[in-house]
Amino acid sequence: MALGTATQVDSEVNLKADRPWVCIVWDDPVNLMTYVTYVFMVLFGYSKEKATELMREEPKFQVVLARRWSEMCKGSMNMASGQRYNEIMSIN
Amino acid sequence: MSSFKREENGEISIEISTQESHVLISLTEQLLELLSQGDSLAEAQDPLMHIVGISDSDALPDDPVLRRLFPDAYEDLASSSEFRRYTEYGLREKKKAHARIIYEALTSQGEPEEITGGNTPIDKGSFKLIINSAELLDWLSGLNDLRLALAVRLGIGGNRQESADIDTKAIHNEYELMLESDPMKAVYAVYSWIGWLQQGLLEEISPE
Repeated sequence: MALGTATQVDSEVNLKADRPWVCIVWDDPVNLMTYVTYVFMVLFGYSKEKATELMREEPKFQVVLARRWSEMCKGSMNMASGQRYNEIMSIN
Repeated sequence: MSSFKREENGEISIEISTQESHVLISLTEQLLELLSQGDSLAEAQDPLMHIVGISDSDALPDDPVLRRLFPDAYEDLASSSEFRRYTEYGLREKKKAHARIIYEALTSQGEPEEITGGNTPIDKGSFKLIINSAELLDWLSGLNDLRLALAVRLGIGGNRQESADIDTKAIHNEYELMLESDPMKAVYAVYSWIGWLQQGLLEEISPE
């Protein structure tokens, strides 16, 4: 990843979408379902309905995310703690 | 016992008894201690790597609570180790920060000076804590870590294979039936209470 100062922002590029990560959904029964839903909403910007649906289908969700981002990403997020590791991107 | 609520001005607050506060202070203190294990050792091994957040250690932690908080990310050992090397240090620091925020918010209260409500004896010895809005997610994550740590001590859901079929109702019944004198019963009560607190906080801050 090159370091530099962006002077122009391409309007076609969604900068948020350009920060890829792998989602690791640690299936731990201790995490409250509402917490997992909340994390999906906050980190992915999903609606409550969508986030709830994804929370119920964790394994499928993992696959969808992997297909979407795995080619380009090295960063990750720990779902159990709801933290993003986009900063890892700069190391890889 | 009360949970988080939203004030009229939008701030999130919690009315907490000194006893409840002591429980949370003690738990966050223990978690901080556990998360800090080996810190000075890691720093000494390679200060530069330490600064950039890469760890020398890529092995699964020995302590079962640490293993739960920093699980293997991949099925295969090599990938897991590599992932751990680059992420565990940062994750550890974040978890420490979350626990410290809860700890400091509670310890900075000192002796309860503001007795809110004040009409009923049950209000005595409690104080109202306003949660800094920038720290709400830290509270949420910190409470989750405490639950995970307690779950390990209680033997709830540590195995990846088991976790899908875990019967929380059966676990609940098992602890409900325990004798009052059994120390694990108290641990389970605290575990349930923290889950209830976390749920209350989620309800207040979840966007619709």
